[in-house]
Amino acid sequence: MKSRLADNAAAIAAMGALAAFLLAPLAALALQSVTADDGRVGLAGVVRYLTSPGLAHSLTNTLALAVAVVATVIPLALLTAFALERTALPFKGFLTAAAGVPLLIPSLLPALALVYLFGRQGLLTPLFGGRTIYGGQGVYVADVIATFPHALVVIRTALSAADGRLYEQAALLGAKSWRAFFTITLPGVRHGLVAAATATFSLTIADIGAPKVVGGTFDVLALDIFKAVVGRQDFTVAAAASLFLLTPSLFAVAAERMAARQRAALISSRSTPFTPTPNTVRDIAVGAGAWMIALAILGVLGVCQMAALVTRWPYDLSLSLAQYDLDRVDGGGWSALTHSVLLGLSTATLGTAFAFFAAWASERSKAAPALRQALSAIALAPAAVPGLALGVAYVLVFNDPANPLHVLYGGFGILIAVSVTHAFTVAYLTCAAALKALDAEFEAAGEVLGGGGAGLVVRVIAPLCAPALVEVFIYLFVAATTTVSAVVFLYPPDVKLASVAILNMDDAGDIAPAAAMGMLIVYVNLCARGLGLVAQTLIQRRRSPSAADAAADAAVSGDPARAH
Amino acid sequence: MSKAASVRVQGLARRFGPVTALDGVGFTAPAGELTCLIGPSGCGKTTLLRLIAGLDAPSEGGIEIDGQDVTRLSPAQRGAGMVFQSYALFPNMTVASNIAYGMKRGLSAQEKAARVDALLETVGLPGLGQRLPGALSGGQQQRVAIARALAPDPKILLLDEPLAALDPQIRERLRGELKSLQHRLGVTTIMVTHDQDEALAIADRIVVMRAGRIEQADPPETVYNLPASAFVAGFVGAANVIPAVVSAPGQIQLFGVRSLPAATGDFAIGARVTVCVRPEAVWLDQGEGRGVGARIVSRQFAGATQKLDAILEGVARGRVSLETPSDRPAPPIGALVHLDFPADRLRLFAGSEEVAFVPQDEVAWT
Repeated sequence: MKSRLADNAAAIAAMGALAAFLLAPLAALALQSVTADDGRVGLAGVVRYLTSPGLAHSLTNTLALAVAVVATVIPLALLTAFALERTALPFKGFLTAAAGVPLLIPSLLPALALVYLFGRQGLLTPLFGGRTIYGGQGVYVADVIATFPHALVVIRTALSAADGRLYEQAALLGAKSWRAFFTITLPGVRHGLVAAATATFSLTIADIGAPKVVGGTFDVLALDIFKAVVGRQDFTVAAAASLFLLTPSLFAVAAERMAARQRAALISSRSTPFTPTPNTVRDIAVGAGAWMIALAILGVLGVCQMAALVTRWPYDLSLSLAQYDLDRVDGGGWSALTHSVLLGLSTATLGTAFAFFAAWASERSKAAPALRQALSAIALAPAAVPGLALGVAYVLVFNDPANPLHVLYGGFGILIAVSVTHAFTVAYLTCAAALKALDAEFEAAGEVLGGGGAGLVVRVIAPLCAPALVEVFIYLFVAATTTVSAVVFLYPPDVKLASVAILNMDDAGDIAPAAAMGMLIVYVNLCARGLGLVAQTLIQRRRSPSAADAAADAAVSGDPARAH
Repeated sequence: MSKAASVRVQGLARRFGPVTALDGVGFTAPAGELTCLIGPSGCGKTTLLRLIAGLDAPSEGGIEIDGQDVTRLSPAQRGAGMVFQSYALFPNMTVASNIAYGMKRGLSAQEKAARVDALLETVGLPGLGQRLPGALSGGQQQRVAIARALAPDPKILLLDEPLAALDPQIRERLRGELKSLQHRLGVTTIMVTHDQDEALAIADRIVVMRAGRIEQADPPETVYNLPASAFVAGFVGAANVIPAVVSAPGQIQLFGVRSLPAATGDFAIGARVTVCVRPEAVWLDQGEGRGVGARIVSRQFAGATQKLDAILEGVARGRVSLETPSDRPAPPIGALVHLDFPADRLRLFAGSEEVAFVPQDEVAWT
């Protein structure tokens, strides 16, 4: 197949954008970490960081925290995923929604709930003899809640790829269900488990919200970066620490790719779908666990909502909307929420367009195969960069007046750029999967009929991807409204954001307004998800004519083939 | 419909890196006829069709449609309509929009609608214009795909395995319909198929391909009765492919042992040849008749005929398949019979290496 000039240009343009907004900042990050204070290349900064007295402490803390969180989240997520995919439990829709809630909320919110429950004036603190949650244990619980749905998504996807034939065969050979679990189910998802574990690990070490809110004196790597940038403006140390964060993330992305490959290899075209059969003992045991997890998550959310609705926790529990008078406290007030929604909408619009464009160029264009492969490889890179590291890198690159993109700095533009880049990989993979699923002969048909190229994309390819595009739009919106780490170094003084406002209000001791702001983000995102679902349902309904309609057609056309 | 156009392909080659998919292919598809390209998978038949459509560019050689060199033209400029294996109907558009997709831009909405209705009438789907493709059966979708390919008024029609996606029962009926539609429209058609029965049934002309080259291009009767090579004999219809030696003028020895009369033509004495004979041409004599002694080793009832396998006496690998009408009593397994190989039904080809081919019925040949 001849490659086409215009298609090659499209692939190169997509790569150029990723180079400008991802590779260049990363390069700057690496360069900065080896730049000494006098501007010369040297390891002075790294050495200063490695020999700083707190480092050993925060490294140990970070590692211990991440290992504990992974060890807790993976079994819980496996249990819930198993309940959703492999049992005959009722109300799976509700369970899915409840377990997925933390995806819609800023990661600080679970930490705030912990403060309300187990803080100095916490509702449940007296039960523990006055000991508070502040410190490593608080960060641990908050991060378990925040990372749980991410692990759940990965493990659930792995579990959904089941070959029913294997289980039928095992049953015929006399294997009990627990034996089938250990000999078929677990080996089948082991790459998924590794992927979920590495993802949880890298999310935990990059999280800034929980350590800030409930960490107390518990220092972690992410806090080091935050303090280096916000406190001391020491970018060499920030860059060196960011590179530490980057390494596990790289493993996480590699593990996820391997899991995806295993999934594809596991399901052959002859696989039969697995249908769970009821098994009372198993369903009750697994179901009880999954429901407890779901209710715990909803409980955390409920506590935040309560705290935001009472006059003065815990002394005056009468209901009031006083906390929603956000303009009363510092942090940005209601305009911060407006800014966040605006950022969400513009990130979603531009990001969806760019992700679809890049996915089209790599999956369906007639660009040279080498270009297409390079593009799909680079598109995976953003997932390997924690938000905090990306934020530091952006400051380094876009603060430089010599950079032609410097105009973006200090405005809304840089926030959109960092939000799109931060969430790009998932958006790209969703678009790519939708494009890959389309009939491979559409382009050829368009060419023969004389309506190929851009016309075909507008009239056929994009409309067929509409459900995926809605999914990507909502995902990007939610990602932009909830992220703290990517934007915390980049927001200009006049553009406060809701997610950052939570951090700042908590810092100033205004915990109730912080909870109120967090709940506002939750409701905005719930609305966005709801609208997305409505849009997808409408698209599906237009797409698939009802069975009755089809039967009537068969009668009209009198085609006996139809009757089969 | 514009006047029927012929297609002429000359010295066409297509290389993908080190792989040669097509190697100097040349043939003519006469105006108004249905030409079938057949061959085992990987023989280059689909590559050839895509080159004719303009979806791919040849490494060498040229393509003429209606006497005009189209090698450098874009697909849309060539005047070729194409039906894809998956049909590639746009699922988000109605049947009418699909058909109108390739029509000339200058046409008014009414003209387009009228032409869509006329095309739906032609393919036997009147009144289905407002349906989405997903609401149609496989057979209906195929006819919509044909209507869409015909909509720009093409000079030729290209079909890439148009029946492959359908159930076997519907398939046989639809190939009859496809042929009569093609005959009615008189449009020059080139169709790729891997099903030799299908090609024999509907083609005016069959082009048998193998490993990027054309083995034979002839009417179906000629391809079946006078195959140009042992490969063609084995690929189109079932055939016994037997190694033999020319023992004397007009005499051959099957498997090097059993002497038979045959038209040895120019072959020298001692030449190794391959003999091809159709199962139905092998004559079975259950009495003490003439011919070669053989023992029946398997029997399969196949409705109108029965398929028998016999091993020539004294030749361990001398397996021969034959087919006799079911209304005649068949010998039981283990029976001794005589097989006669009529000289005028034996086709001799040079060389006697084992020739791999796709048997018509796998079971009968194991």
